[in-house]
Amino acid sequence: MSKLTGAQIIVEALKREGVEVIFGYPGGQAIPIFDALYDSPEIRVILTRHEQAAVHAADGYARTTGKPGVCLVTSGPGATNTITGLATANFDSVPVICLCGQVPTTMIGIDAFQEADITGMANSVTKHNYLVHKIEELAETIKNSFFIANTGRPGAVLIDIPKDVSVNKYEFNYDFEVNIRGYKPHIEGHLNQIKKAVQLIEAAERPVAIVGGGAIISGASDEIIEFISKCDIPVTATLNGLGCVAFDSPYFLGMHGMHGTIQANKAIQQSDLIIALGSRFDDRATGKLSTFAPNAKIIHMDIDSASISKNVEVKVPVVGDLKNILKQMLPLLNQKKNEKWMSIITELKAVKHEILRDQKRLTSIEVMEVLNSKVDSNTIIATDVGQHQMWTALYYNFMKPRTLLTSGGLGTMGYGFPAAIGAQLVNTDKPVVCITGDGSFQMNIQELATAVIERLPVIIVIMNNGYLGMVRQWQDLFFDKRYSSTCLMNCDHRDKECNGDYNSCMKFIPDFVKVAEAYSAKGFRVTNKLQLSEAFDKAFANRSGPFIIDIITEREENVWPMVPAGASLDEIMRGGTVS
Amino acid sequence: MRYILSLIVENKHGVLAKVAQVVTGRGYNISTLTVGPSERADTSRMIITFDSDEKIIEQIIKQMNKLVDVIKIFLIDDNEKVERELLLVRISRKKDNEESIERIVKIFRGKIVDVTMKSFVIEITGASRKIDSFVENIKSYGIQDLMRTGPLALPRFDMRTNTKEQIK
Repeated sequence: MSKLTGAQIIVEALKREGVEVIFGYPGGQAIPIFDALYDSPEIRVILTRHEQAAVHAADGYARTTGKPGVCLVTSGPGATNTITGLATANFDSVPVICLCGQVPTTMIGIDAFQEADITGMANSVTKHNYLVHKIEELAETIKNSFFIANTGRPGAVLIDIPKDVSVNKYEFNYDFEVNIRGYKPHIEGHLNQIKKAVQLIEAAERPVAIVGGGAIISGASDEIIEFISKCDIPVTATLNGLGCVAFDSPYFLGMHGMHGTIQANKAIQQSDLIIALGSRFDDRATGKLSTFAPNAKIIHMDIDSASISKNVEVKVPVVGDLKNILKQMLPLLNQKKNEKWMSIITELKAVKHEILRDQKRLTSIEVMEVLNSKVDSNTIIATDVGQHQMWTALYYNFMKPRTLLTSGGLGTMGYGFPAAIGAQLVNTDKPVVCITGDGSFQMNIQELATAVIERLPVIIVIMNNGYLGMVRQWQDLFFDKRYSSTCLMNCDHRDKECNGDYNSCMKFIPDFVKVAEAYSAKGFRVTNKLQLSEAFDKAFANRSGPFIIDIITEREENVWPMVPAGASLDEIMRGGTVS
Repeated sequence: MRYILSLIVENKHGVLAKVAQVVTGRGYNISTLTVGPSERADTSRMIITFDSDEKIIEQIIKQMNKLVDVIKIFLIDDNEKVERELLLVRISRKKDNEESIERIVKIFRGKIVDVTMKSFVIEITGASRKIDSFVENIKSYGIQDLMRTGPLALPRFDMRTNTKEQIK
């Protein structure tokens, strides 16, 4: 058998894993690996403009395909720049493989140029990580990494590869079974537990199902729809569970939690049984734990046993892959009608919160309504983090799983655009829309270059209110309108209070249309509904590169409804007026 | 309450850091930690004790169990275990305290392993509670330096059937 360099081994292993694209940024210790990729047309290498964006792009690729996304960076700052991306992916259980160059093994520990203890730093933001000491371990490490990243509860795996490992030579062998003695994920649900769950479900009068990100990862959407229809169970979603059940299903209540719909939160609070399907009872989803669903027993189906009884006390846990569990459970369940409960749900749905319309500037609902009228069910939505993210969750009509890319757990501003790039690369036939804010977009704005060069027709919808809107909303509600460091327009807010005279401030900072031009992308500014519709038409017709729609929106619109942090899901603020 | 966790881990680079990270990253505190070789060259055994409550211990076990390099983890049953800890302590030697120190050491079946003009070094092994009690007794004689290993512990029965898959 002929010998390959470590770098060639990496490339061969990636090919065997079916990797078609790598997001990367080169540097000294990674040059040998990039060099080997230069000879491998099977793997497309996308040069991002920042390592963090490379990880987010790999993340976006993984969330839309279910396959691990791969990124490749150099040692030191290249590696440390991936930390936010890895934490984002790992928090939301996204399979990402991050290959890092490292200084040669002989130089580790001497504070060499661009040396960083990246495995040490990555411990708390990865599912697992490796430092490859010898070329003999390289192929097995890569194979194990792919297995770990995309089985059980998926997550991020980092592989740190010293330069001597990538230039040394060794025989390449990839024909072996993965066998990691400390890692044997549960797949099947325990039958006795499933039977206990069935009993509770059949006895329940006011059941509510909660679908989380795990439902989408597991591909359990069909089984969930069969389950809720069979037993007449209303269903709510966490942020990352959106799309699992179509928005127009009679059972669907929308998202629950801090910015959940009124009907979802009320239904949870009134229920006598919560069936959590791949969700982990995040604090933003439960509100105050001691008053969460006070009369409900809880069934928790999850692949991660550590998620069970971590935050809420669970009556019946079922550990395993959700799709498998539901397949095992469905034949055991009798058909059931919950007419009384469903009629209560219908009443709950009639309660409305404030929806702002017909202001001087466009409002969130007006933007989302026009967008909803232009998209099809295959459209992939990526968001950043903040008000626009919650408006997307509340108002966008999600139809299918894997059509929402959003940083739910970590809440990473700057995630949306690079994730959209990763998604668009592999979903060439689908429109990809990044809904963002003027704050978030600037956190990875440099990726316009990547999108232009790769001719990716990502549509960037900036809901531009000149504020870090979500923080401003909290300052409005809980800090006496003291808008400390949240205005993105005003230059001298330290010295005087903002008098609302925005004309004295910068008009655009930056002018996103000019930014688009500077990157040879298209940009369009929108200030009214007519322009909005026109802009979306142009954007969806355009397939040659990124298209920015800079929408000047109402400056101080708040996201309603809202359950304040630490409050019970009952304590819903609906805004100034109830319409 | 004190909980004793026994871990079999891969004898590899970075494993101790990963185990420690799980504890510190979630705001828990390790009371004692002992790491050493096990019956196999490619694995190590860790005994970690926590002063904690049941809910937190359950979370710690689950989170540690998720570590790929942790092969097996179990809680050692306080009633069905053999436990040993080693103490080394240097105590000031004075004319009037020699006899009583020797007597206490004898009662606790310890040894005086080194003597200088000014000090004794005493070695005691036993369950942690015994060592606590020895320290309590010897405190008034003037402890110069004290070092405890933290307990080693083995269950009285073979736990080998208790593999990772079965512990939830």
